[in-house]
Amino acid sequence: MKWVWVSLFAIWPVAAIALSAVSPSMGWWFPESPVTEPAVAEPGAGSSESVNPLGREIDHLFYVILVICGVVFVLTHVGLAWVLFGGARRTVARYFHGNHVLEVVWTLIPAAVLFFIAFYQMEVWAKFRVESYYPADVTPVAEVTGRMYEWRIRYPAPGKTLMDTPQPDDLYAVNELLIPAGEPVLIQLRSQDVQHSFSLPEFRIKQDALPGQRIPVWFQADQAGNYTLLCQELCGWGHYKMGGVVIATPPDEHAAAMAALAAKQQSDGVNQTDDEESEIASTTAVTGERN
Amino acid sequence: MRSALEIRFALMRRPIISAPPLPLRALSPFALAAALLLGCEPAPEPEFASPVGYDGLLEEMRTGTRAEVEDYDTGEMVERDLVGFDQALDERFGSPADPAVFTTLPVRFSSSEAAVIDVLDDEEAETTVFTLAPIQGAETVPAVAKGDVLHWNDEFGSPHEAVVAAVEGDAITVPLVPFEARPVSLPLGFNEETGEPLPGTVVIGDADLLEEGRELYAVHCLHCHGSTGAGDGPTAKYLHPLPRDYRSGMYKYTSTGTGIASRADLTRILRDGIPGTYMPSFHPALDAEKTASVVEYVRWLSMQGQYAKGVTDEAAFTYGDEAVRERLESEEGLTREDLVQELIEYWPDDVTGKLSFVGTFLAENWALAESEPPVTPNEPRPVLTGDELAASIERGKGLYLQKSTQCASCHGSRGLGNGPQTVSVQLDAATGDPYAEPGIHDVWGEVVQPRNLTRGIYRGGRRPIDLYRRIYSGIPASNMPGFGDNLSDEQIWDLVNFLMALPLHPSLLDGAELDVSHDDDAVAAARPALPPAAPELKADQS
Ligand SMILES: [Cu+2]
Repeated sequence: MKWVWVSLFAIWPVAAIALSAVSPSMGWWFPESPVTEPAVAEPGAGSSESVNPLGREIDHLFYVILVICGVVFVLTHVGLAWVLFGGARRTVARYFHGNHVLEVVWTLIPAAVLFFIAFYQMEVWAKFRVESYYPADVTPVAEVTGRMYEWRIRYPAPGKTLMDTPQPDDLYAVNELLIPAGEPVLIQLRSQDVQHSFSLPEFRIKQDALPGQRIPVWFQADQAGNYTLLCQELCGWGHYKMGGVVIATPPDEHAAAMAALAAKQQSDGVNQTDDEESEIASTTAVTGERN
Repeated sequence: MRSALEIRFALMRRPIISAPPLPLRALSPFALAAALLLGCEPAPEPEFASPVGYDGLLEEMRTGTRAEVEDYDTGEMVERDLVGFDQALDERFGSPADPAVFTTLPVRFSSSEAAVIDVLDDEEAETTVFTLAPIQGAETVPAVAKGDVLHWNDEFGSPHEAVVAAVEGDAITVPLVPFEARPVSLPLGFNEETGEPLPGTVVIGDADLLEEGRELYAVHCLHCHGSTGAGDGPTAKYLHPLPRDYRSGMYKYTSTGTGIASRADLTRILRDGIPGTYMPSFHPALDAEKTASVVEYVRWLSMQGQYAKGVTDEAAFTYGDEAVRERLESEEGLTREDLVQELIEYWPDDVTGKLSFVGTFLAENWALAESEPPVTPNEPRPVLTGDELAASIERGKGLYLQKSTQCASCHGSRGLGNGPQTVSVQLDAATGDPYAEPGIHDVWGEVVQPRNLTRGIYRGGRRPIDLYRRIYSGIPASNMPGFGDNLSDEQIWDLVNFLMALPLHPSLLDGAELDVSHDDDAVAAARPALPPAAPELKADQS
């Protein structure tokens, strides 16, 4: 029986490494960014590299920590197995009082590793959290407000800058954030009711939205595409509904899309191209028309 | 004396929950295993609830009966089963989970539907041949194979089905269909050029599109709007305002000018949500195709509620419990049996006829919501800036405060949604009795708060055209009157400009007082705004 327990402990490091090795090809790794449009459905076929430069740095940190943890995990389990196998062979118990040198060593090494991680990640953390408060040349594209259970978005009118308070020509949307691709964008994150979390898995961005606060979040889409927007803070019974889409398009297409949104929002049903007609058209295309 | 900290520690050390006795602890794994293996009792099948007054109808009318009636063709007396409302409603609608095909309604039931443009009987072979054509908006006739089941309705709305015996191109052979059971377009229509009746529709197979809509509805909508669309889902009671009860067929934010929403209206609500309420946007969770099927299912739920209520109200006139009691009391020697005999005699009018009348009426209204163009201004919104815009806003403010529009009597002289009507006791238009609570009531009998116009939250959309429509048609379901007849387009645009400016400059209404001077030239011809729950508004409910 004791050999069963000994083998059980010895098996984990092997299993963990094997699992980590196959995960990326099974689609169990990072959220995949589409290589081409439309999004790749097949798991493992997309690129698990983030579309966001900051996201790639975050991934790099993840890998550094994964390697450190992996090595420590394997070493401790090999040590554990070695002790267990050794102990299992013995039939008589042995008493000893500990080893001062060993304890100092296994305190100092982790401390050094932790210090290394603490200093190593500082730059990325500063980029994500501190620099977003002092954006040098990043202008906010939108104010995103979490609400039970949707994301309400307010854009400045084309050519204008986002103001803290609503303006007469602001543009409004819901669950659909339009951004230009290939340049850093910044959003002001707010919440209308409870805590939500603005999460862009493909960008490795996750930021809580707090009622009463306006929190800047910045990111960049290197490729055009449609990306997932999620709420990752359990905010109520409809939390699961709180999904949206971030649509990144080349700057000129983005400008055209914003102009179209502005025209749609100014619709008086007579002059402006009314979205109603196109909506009816898209509906009838599916349902047909009777009578 | 012990410190508070010590007391707290002492309290913490005391075991708060004692462990259950050993036998119970030993049994718990088995209980857990049993629960996992056996599972829970399956959820009950949802059923449409009967409308108010339905159970009071004469029993024979609901359950149907068997009686001697005159045969249609021969004129002889034969014993027949007379179909009552229970069976008729079941045949026409099925259940929320298993929708029946009822082609009388302008609902898209299935992805394979076809128009019947010609019907030929072969008396000898005892077969009928339907010639099929694509339905409006489609390009091809869906594939039909031998053995498929066709569903359609006759001119009274009664459902029929037949198994396809042979297929030859667009000609489908089925067992002989009696003349009165032929598919007919409803509402009855005629080709304007040839004068021939418009073709009816057959559904090939089941109501698959509605089934898809129902599945999505169950995932996304049911927990608030309820399994029958009564707005009574499990989460409904935590919401204010309450989720919409579809069964009255009334919607608040429509472009049709009435309480009936067009497909485009419902599509827009599903995409944009209703800010200021708990209705969220379902974009991008529901794409265009999924949204369309949910919209069909919601329209169908609405029509079911309206149909059942319409039939009940029609029948209750003569055979409701109150009508029956009154007649039995007022007419000497009249017994219940006499009434049943009378009902059987007039069955084709009082039961079958009502079923078809209500269906046609309903279908016409819903079809109009699609075919009529949405409320559209004749005059475009003037493009104004600077002083011109300020002048327009000022004119809008004048209209807002004017006595003839009565905007401020509900929305308040500061636009905060707290006008005097919100604290006065109103009469229920349906019963004539005062409501228990003061304030404005909607057609569902709930108190509605007039919009706070300084918040910049617009439930029906924030585009100028959305505000135009709210002012032009009002919100029939909320008893907000429409001003389309009283105000010119120019005046409405002034009001829209004012309303769009108000949230940004709430000081616009600082110190504002209701204008009590009577004859204002601009709106001299205006009729007084409808008081809430006026009978004219009631008419839209039908
Ligand atoms: Cu949330």
